[in-house]
Amino acid sequence: MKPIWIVDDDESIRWVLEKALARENLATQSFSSARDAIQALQSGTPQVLVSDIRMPGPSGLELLQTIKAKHPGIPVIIITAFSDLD
Amino acid sequence: MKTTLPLLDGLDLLASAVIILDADGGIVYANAAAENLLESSFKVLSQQKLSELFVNGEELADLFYQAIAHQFADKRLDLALERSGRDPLQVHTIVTPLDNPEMPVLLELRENVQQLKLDREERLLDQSQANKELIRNLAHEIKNPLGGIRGAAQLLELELPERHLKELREYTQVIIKEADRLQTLVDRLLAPHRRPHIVGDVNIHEVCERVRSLILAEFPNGLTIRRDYDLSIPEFRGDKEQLIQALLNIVHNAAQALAERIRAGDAELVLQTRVMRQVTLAKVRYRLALDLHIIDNGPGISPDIQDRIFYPLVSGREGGSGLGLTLAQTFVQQHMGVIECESRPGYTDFRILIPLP
Repeated sequence: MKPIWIVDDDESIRWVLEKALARENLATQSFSSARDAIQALQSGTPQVLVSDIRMPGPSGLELLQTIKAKHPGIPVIIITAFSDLD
Repeated sequence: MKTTLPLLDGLDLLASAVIILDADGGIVYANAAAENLLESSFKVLSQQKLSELFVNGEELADLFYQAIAHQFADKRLDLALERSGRDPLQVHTIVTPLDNPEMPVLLELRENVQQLKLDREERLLDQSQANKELIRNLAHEIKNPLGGIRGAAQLLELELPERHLKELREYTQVIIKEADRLQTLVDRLLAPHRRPHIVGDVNIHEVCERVRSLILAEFPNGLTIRRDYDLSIPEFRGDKEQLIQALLNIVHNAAQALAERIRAGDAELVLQTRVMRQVTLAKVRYRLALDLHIIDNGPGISPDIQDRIFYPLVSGREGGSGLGLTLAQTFVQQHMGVIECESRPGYTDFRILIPLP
């Protein structure tokens, strides 16, 4: 099974997600920026992608657009601590 | 010397600063108010010329020369006179030529209270803007690590050995609950920026009546809420729910501050509505504005927090969140309005000003 990709600039959030998914025996691969994830898309794809929105560099929404354009079949889960996006 | 001008002694009783100049712009007389305003004694002032008093005295010097030439009977204008190392003087200035060759020009300076008030409001507005930005950023910076802490505690709870699950869960639950408490606080700090602004026609008296009945339901005995409405106030476009919340927060604070008088049975709150003409709110001038007063006869706001009551997390009440007035102010600001406050023991007046069509 292909891994679940976790994209978040916050290390502790990545850690929690990795651990939580590992408990369910799900393989993960983590990225600290959308740029790294976009680059990794050239050599492989995830089963599911979980991404934060606000990160230094390209945002999670930009990552979402890239994925939807190239691999429309991959489910993407967007998570964010920013509850007001105005 | 003042004694050489005995007729001028009465001028010391005036609140306006009066300065008399000779033909060269030298100061031949300054009354007590002028000494006060310029923070110099007449002795020092008498050594100086008008042109040396202020950093930007050119405009004043021009007026002086025009007066010497008798080009006008008297001239009035508002000036911001700058002095090195001090706040500029906001003064209403009147220059009058005199028919006396030894003292040909009389200069009158009156502090421009309106301008001072505007400056102060502007500063407060900037400050509250900066505060809001700070709070927002800080709240967001707190949310992420909080997510990590809560998540890690949840994971830890899942790892706890079955045998000690009950005792050990207490520890993880404290972490989770406290993280949730902080999360709630952060959410409340962010709330005013998040709530949608729903605009419709607002009748301010409907807002007042709603708040009045809510408060009376909570404080049924010992509190009188008197209405003093100007029913001619027109409806305006606004978010009724936000305004109810804003007013409710202020009136609720007042009712809580009145606790002692409520027990004594003579607590009084007044909701007063008026219109105000030609007002400047947050730097913009309006022809007409709503002037809503919430007046109580409680003990007043403690002077040491009076300047900061609209800041988040400032509260005069034990257990108060310090968010009520911040929220009220945010909502009123979203209506282009301002909240002002005046308080002394036995009389506290919160004033909501909102532009009217």
